[in-house]
Amino acid sequence: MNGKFRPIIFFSFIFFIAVFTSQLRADYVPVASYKIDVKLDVKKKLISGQEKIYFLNTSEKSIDTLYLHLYPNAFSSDSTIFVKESDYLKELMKKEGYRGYLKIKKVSDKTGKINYKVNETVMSIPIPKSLKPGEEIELSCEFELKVPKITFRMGYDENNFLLCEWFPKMVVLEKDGTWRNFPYHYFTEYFSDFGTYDVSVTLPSKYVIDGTGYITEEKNNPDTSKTISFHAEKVHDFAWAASPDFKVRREKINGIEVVFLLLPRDLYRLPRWIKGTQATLEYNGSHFGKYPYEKLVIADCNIGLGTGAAESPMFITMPPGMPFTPQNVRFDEWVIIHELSHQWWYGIVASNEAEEAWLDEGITTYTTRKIMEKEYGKIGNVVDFCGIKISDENLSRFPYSASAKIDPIVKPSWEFASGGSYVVNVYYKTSLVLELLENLVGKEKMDSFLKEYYNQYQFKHPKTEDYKRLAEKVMGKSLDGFFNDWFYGTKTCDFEVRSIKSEEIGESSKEKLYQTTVELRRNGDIILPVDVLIELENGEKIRQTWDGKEKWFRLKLETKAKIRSAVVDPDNKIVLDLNVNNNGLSVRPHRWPVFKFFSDYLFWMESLVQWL
Amino acid sequence: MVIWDAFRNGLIKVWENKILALILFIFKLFFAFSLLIPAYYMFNRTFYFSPSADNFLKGYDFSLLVDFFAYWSKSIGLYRVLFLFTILILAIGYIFLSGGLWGGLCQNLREGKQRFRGEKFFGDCGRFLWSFFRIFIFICILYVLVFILGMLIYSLIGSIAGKELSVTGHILILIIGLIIFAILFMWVDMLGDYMRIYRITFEEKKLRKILKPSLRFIFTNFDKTVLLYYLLSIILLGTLAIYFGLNKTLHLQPANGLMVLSVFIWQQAYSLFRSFYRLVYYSSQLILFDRISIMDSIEKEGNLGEIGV
Repeated sequence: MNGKFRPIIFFSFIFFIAVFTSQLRADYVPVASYKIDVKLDVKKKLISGQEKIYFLNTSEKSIDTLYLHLYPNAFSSDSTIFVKESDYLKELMKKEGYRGYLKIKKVSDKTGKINYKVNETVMSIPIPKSLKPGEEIELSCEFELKVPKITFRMGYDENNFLLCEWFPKMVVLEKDGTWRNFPYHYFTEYFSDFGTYDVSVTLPSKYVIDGTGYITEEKNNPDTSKTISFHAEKVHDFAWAASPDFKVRREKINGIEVVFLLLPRDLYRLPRWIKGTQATLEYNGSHFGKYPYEKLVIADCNIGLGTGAAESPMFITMPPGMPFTPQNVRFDEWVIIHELSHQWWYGIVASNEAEEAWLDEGITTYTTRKIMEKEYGKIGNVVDFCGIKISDENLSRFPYSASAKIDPIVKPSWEFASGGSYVVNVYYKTSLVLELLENLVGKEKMDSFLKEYYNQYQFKHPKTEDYKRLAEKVMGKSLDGFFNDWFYGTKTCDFEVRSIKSEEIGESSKEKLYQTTVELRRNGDIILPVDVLIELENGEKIRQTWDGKEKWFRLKLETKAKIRSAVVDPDNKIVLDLNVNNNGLSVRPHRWPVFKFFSDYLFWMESLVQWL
Repeated sequence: MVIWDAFRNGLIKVWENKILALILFIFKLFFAFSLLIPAYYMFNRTFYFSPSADNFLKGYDFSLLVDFFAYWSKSIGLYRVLFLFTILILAIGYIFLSGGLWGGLCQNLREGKQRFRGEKFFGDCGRFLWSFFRIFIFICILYVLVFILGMLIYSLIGSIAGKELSVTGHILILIIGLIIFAILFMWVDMLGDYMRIYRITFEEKKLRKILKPSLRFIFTNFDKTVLLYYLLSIILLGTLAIYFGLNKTLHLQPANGLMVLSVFIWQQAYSLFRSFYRLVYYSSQLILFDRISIMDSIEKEGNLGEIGV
């Protein structure tokens, strides 16, 4: 073959591959789409209306029953599964206004009215005719939502409304015909299919409203109300916030129109929110893939109790802030970066938040750390105030160290021993495990894997096994042991330098020779290769690797000087080591650091007793 | 003028009785040191032979501290039990004994310049122990009440500012709230000192009979008492700025033993000064009290004289 054609053939091949893979990735199909038309009665806290659901059977089996989530029914009494799992909520539900419900008035399809059965937060609808694979059904549903006083993700506080996962919503149907029709538990989040949303909300004219999607029409009605219509594609929820007190600020950040809905008392937080938004859009855009929508809403839900920060597609909420927070105390930045990163890990790569929560919360916590480190440095990136430096990694390690062995990471959220264990494993431990994986395979490989993961699974529902399979493919090695130890197990890891010594054994060419012994211990169950750095009195440094297979190991070396110190894992790669303070030993005592602690502590104690 | 005069003479008075400042300093040092011992041992056991301990010379390495706290909070070791036990016993001991110490200090300052006699000083400590302890407890209760009041003010501001105000308005109101909060705290501190003065001067033991005239004195001489207190506080803030400035400069030096030692000496020097200055607070207010009382009695006598004529 003539050599001059080779580049043409090569580029044609690349072009073919690119077109082929882009086709593979463009296989997006809307599974559950909604046309919703509702009216908000702000006095009665009622939302009434109807929706049309277009559901496509993407499974391999015919189905006879449809399932829908009715999440707001979690607040319908003090004996729901959701409320029973929280003592705090049980008490709250006794108070007026905290109860709410989602009442179904009528369900019909093209043939007419259909019967249905409501079991707390899940509704089942036996359909008259089986829905075969690839077929679509259109359902109509009339409903009434009594908005509860806000406790968790949705509700009202005075005149302010926040609605997430608020309407009758299709349960996800797996390829094998299994419905993910879990009830709403206290520690669970959500799982829904992608679709197209056309939503119209009628509410009093003085209310400011925004939410998922783009506003397509704003119409004033004769009765001092207005109707706002939204359109959104490739999303799996329609969340919105409305308040007469919202101040709207619009910013163009990285080509995205970011709408900030702020309550007046929080206007001062705007510059920090803008900075956090910019950092997130930049980092995630360049490391994983571009934010695929043109709009993003950040709502200040500084209302009521327990609302906190939350993520929805194209929409996030921010929790209350603390006035006069110093610039170097960056909780606001942390929260906005975390919630915005959920747009990638939950919004776009939409894993099952309820049964494999680590896939969104854990990866998001890891991503948050990466952005915090890039923006504010590795040390003290969350708090750098009055000599106290706290990094995001510290904030994850502390709760993990305190309760490392309770649960594995991969587990349905409602099966965790407690809320604390859920948070520790799903958020903190996962983020540290991913950090460890990055340290073991290298940052570049980890970045390229996550980029590939994002590209391959956007607008899909990947599972733990999908994540593992792709990671193995990109990293080029089996991760069976790694996943079994860290994700499916409760094993822990703690390396220790138990003892060090050097004994004179003779002379070689007028130099003394020493037998240097370093005894290493593996106190945890996890087997990992680990580096050991030995420093000699003459300044020489020796680095060795221990495979960590045995419970202990005596490293023996012939050296020309006595040992000064030995440190296991000197680069702090094993971020899940339960106790880094036993990772090293010196021959000489470290008096001055201990004395410094003594001196500072003494001074602060004196200052404290002075006050009395 | 009377304010400055009270401050200047208060300073001189404490200088003339500087041994009292030394006693207060040693008393604080003893309790702080006792509280330190178990924590020191825990720290020492963890870091004495740890190469990473050198990180503490540069700052508080939180990754090491995280594991230090996690390790010791899981442990039921002797040091930890000892630490909690020591805190409890020492806190009770300190609260109780500081009452007596303050009795001795106040009585000695009231008596003015004289040769220090240990038996008399400690005798005074014993004599005033119970009544000063009650003043101390009363003041602690007031601190708690002020704290609750401060929280109420904060919530009130939150509810007002949340609806109508602009950001600037909200911040301004919050600043005002914080100032009110600080003022209340200072008043409690000031009230404590005047109660001690009344206890010493009039040998009155009942709390109620000390509280009423103390409050009356503060409010009838509101401008003078408050101004003196603020003058003392502003000077203290100035010294704090100097302390932190020099402390920061010392930390810029290479992280070695010399730096640690210099910081330690500077910290203890400042702590000694704080003990001295605490007594200046008291003695300045004592002098103000005396001056005003004398002026009042002269005024009264003068009036009586006129009536007599």
